[in-house]
Amino acid sequence: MAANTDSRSNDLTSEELIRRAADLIPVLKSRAPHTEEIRRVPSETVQDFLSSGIHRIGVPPRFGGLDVDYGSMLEVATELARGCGASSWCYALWVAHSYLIGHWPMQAQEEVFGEGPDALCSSSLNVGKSTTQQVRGGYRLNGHWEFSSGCDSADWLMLGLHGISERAFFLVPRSDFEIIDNWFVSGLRGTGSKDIVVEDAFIPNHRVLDVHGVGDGSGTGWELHGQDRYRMPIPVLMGWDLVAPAIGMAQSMIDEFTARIIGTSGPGRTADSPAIHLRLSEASAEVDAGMALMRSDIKEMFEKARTGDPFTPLDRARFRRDKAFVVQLGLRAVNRLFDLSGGHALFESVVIQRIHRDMQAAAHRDGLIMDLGGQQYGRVALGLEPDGRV
Amino acid sequence: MAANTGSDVKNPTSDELLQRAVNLVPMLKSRAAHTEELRRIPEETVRDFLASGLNRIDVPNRFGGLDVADGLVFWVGAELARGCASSAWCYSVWSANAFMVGFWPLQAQEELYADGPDVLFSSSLTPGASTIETVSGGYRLKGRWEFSSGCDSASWLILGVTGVGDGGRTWVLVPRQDFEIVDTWFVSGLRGTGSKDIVVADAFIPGYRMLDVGKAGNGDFTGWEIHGQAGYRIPIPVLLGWDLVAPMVGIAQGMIDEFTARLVGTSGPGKTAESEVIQIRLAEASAEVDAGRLMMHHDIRETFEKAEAGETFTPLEQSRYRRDRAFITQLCLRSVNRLFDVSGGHALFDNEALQRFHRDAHAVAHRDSLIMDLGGQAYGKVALGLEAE
Repeated sequence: MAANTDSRSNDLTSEELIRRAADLIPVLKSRAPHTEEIRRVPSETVQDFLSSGIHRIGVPPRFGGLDVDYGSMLEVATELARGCGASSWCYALWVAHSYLIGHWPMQAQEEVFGEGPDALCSSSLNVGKSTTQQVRGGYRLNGHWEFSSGCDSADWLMLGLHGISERAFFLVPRSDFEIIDNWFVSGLRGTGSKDIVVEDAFIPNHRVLDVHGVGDGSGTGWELHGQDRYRMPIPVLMGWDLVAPAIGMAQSMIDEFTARIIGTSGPGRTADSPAIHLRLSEASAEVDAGMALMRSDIKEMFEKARTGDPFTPLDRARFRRDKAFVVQLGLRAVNRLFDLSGGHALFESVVIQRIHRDMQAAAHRDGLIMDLGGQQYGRVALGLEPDGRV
Repeated sequence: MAANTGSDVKNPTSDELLQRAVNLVPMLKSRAAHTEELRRIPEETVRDFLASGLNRIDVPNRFGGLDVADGLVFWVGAELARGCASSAWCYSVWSANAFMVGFWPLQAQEELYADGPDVLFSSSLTPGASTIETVSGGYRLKGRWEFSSGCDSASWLILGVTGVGDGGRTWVLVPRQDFEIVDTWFVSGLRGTGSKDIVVADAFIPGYRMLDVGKAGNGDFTGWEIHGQAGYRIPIPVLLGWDLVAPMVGIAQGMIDEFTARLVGTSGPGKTAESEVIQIRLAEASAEVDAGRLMMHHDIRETFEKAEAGETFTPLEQSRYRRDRAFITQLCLRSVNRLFDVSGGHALFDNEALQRFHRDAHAVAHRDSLIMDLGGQAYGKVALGLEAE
């Protein structure tokens, strides 16, 4: 893609950003095999994300970010996934983390975005094997974390911890962590979701965020930025950044399956087969339903944030349920089409098998598995206390 | 495993042979990653199959085989797949082909087994882009075929052709020196099967190396007359295909074994042995595999009983076996997906058996005949009074 001369403009509309994402699809698709091979997002792709301005949806406007709805990022990620699931996955996570940084004390935000809005932040939010020790002005941190998607391109990491509070996130600069390349996997190979090691780093107090209650009502983020996204509990908004790439991958399966079969005729696996018609109808209805549910939930969440309505435990459990359910709908659609794609669809040069592998990997996030992430809703709806994070 | 000296025993029982398959499972499992990397069955594994005598189960007695005509080869294929799906798949295909060559005229069979019973036959039965023309004493063959599992270890191939004889399906036998292997096998599942492309530049096929598939065991009783074994009274399409279903049942069982081993002894919230949702998933998945295995046993036993009794197979029965092969495959695929779907991020790593079983199961289930929509549909058609294809 040609560099956009107006990429530094701060009045890019949501429509324009989604159009730019759509323009990136062919190049992402052509780089997808290379992305798998190097097992990280190529720097050309990172450059495309930055120069197109789509990354700045997550950056607070005072640091050069765009003042558009957070939901635009989900639409952009869905588009990007039609080209490359792994690239979309990292894009969405980087944007989500840029937004999260807005919750930290101002000093930390200035450190991250002091040089401009193009800083990328990856994470490993599950509490790894780590120890912290309180020292004057902050903490000493040691530990090992897993699954840090996009970490090779990150200037900063957010690492999950407990011990200081129920759950805290630490911001750690590139100089303080090492990447261990263990990302040899069956799906989402291009995300480079490698292990992270921190050896005896000093973390000043202002780089620590006690996650509990952040965004619930008002808080630092809301006071500093006045954006609705900062009046929303973190667990409600986080997670959609994984759902959008997943449902986009499912859409790309429909695109590819259709392209392979359109114009064919005769017996067997052709455009004449009623069995194929039925499968395609079911799969595309599943993807459309998933996208509609995602959009409706996002709209409802932001209306609540705007009016200051509280998020009840049932609301929270429902949003969590829906994140898992939308991904499972997408997974079902992908399996449905892959399952009758035949032996030729198994070759590494064929896109369909990559989408299938990537979709399995996306759906392997505990939060997106119905049995684990989705179950809470049933509990809360039956009057029990949630037994996990909602 | 120590080299199995049991192959010296002239008449091992079926139980003994099945036990030899069970004994091979840990070794196959330890070589599974290497087998994927090689994209073919390692020579050590081929040697183990030969040393165990398991390859002789379907080789006719007169050529030094065991000629066990009761479906044993399928139970062995299922067992081996618990260790390595690709190895089981090739074992199963080689064995099915060893059975099938018994349908050919005796002269062809004698050539195949001139050096003893330990010959491996691969195949590509879907007619590829090939041409065959009749010449004096036989045919001239040229063409290209796909998906020839285990071809690297094969001394002969069975290739599907069309356009000669009555115009139906015909198979020809081609010796190693008459075909070339093109290494195209870069795939997402069953990587170890080395199911590569085959090219025949210009080979002479003597007339006796050709088989009219529609007539074999179904009007042409050459195999029955030579071997006196009931299997050769079964039309080829009735029995062929179980060799692919058997490894699928074993893959699904291997998935259950692995999933259980990972979770046994764990406790607490989330993905542990104490989770009721995990317990339900495992209950459903194992019921699916047990149901699939029992249906396979039932159908194969019924097929051999009918053949022993000299009964024929109605179109409805033939399409029912076809339906069941697709259905069992889909049951097993569902079971594999059910467990893989809750296995979490750690199960994605290349060194994890769970993701390999999952990829292999999908590759098996991509055979057209094992897809319900394609292979299974015929039963509905016949049951509704229409003609089968």
